[in-house]
Amino acid sequence: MLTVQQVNKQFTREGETFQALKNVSLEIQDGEIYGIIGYSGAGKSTLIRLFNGLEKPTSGDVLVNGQSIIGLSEQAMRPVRQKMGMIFQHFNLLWSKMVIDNIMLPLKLIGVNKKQRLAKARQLLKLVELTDYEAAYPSELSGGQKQRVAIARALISDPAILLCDEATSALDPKTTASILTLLAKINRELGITIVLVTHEMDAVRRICQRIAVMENGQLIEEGSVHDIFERPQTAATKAFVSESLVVTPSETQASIDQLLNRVPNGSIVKLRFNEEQSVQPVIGQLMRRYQAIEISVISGSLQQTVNGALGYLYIQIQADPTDLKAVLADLAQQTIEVEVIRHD
Amino acid sequence: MTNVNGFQSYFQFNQVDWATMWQATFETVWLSAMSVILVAVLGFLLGLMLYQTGQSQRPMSRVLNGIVALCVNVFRSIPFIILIVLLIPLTKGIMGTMIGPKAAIPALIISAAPFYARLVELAFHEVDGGVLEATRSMGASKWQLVWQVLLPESLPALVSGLTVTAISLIGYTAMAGVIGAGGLGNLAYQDGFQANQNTITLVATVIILIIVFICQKAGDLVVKHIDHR
Repeated sequence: MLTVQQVNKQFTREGETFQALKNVSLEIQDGEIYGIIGYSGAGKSTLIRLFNGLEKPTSGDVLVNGQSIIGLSEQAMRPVRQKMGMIFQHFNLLWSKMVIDNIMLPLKLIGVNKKQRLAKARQLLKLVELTDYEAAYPSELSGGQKQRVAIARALISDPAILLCDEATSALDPKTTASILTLLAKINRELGITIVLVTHEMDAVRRICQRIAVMENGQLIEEGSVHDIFERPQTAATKAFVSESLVVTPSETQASIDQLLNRVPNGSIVKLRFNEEQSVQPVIGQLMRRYQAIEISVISGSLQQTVNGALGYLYIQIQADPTDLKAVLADLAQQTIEVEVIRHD
Repeated sequence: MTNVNGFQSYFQFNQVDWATMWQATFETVWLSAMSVILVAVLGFLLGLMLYQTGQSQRPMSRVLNGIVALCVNVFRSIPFIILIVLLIPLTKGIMGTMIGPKAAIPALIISAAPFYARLVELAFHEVDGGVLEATRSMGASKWQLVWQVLLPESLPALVSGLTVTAISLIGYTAMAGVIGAGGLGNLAYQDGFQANQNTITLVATVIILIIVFICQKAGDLVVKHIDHR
């Protein structure tokens, strides 16, 4: 578990004081993927560096598994760091070393013998699907491949936590997707806690379970992905959310009118999926339970997340008024927002 | 031996005593090689010290950095020919002599090591800060950072810097030759200039040029081989 308690961080450069973090508190549970999102300069990179002591707070406390790390000397910090992996926006590989030597470096630092290092590194090359690139130099690799090497390097010392500082920000969308998939796989299969700092809401939406939103050094919002997406409280969060959830034309009034014209009969109901859940069973259940009604999906926009889907669906229900009432009550009992657009 | 004047005077190869010439070449190469090795080691350590103390905020480091930086700037600025004369008493004390190749070594080192130290410091500063941070995040110690990251990542710059230093050292050894350190500089000055045998001066020049070219080429090849950027 990673805990930050009321942390302030000031930088003084050429006499000018800059407050990078203002009274930030948060808690990251073991095994989760936690996103920290904010525009550049929001303090998120400073925040993530607190966890492995690359930055020391001016005041407040940072705990790793309940143990405060802020008083630790650089020397005492070393074992803590060895149990955390970190990857960066610009990969930070040593150009002077081959891929395999880059990956082995953390083990070399703690004095693991060459044979074991090599075996472990090859195992990780397999995990990141770069088996053929063992003897290549970083300059021969693409951005995505470099980040895979960096991930392998970060994982070689069997860390419990992986810190990702803008790890996909220098990559194109397709490569970003593949790196995020790899991170999710690492979290799932190896049970590694992942802290993901980014300015891309899309990255967070895809793999995170919880998010913290940062602005001007403050943590302005925190919560599960669906909470943040469905009920963004602050202007900054709303801006982020709208960046990711592209408003599809079908949610505007004009398109609703069009929809009503297109489907002249039956009631039209809008279902909004707030909890991350699978959509299929909901519709299926209704159809099984109410044999007399007819349901068809007419339009919608769903975003896939780790645990299911977020978004909305328009469905057309053809039923007598009592059945319709029962259906609506049934839906309302689940964690679905129901809005009747048109009564039959 | 006849002395021919004008352009012709450069091509009187009968003036050249090849055995002496090779002896002088050997002396120059030996002196240059010795001083390059010593300058490389000393310059590296000084450069590392400048780099490390330059980054630290501790007052001790600041003071140390100031002193080293001052020495480096002072010795780098003294013209070599003056430095060598200035150091005669010191040389006598350390080497026991002020004549011959060995006598030139202290002056060569004192003038070139600070120069190389600056190049080393510069090379270290050019190492990607992100890579250093990444290695710190792995739990590397200060010395592991130096040997595992700083050194390999700055190696091409260290080597090309050493090549530049070596070439100026070859020039310095020739100058040192004039005041009795032997080698091609000495030969060109005494047998060439003072005895008015221009051919000897020309041959010595050509040999020095060849040594410099070989040095440059070797340096370039090494850099090309180790640079995987």
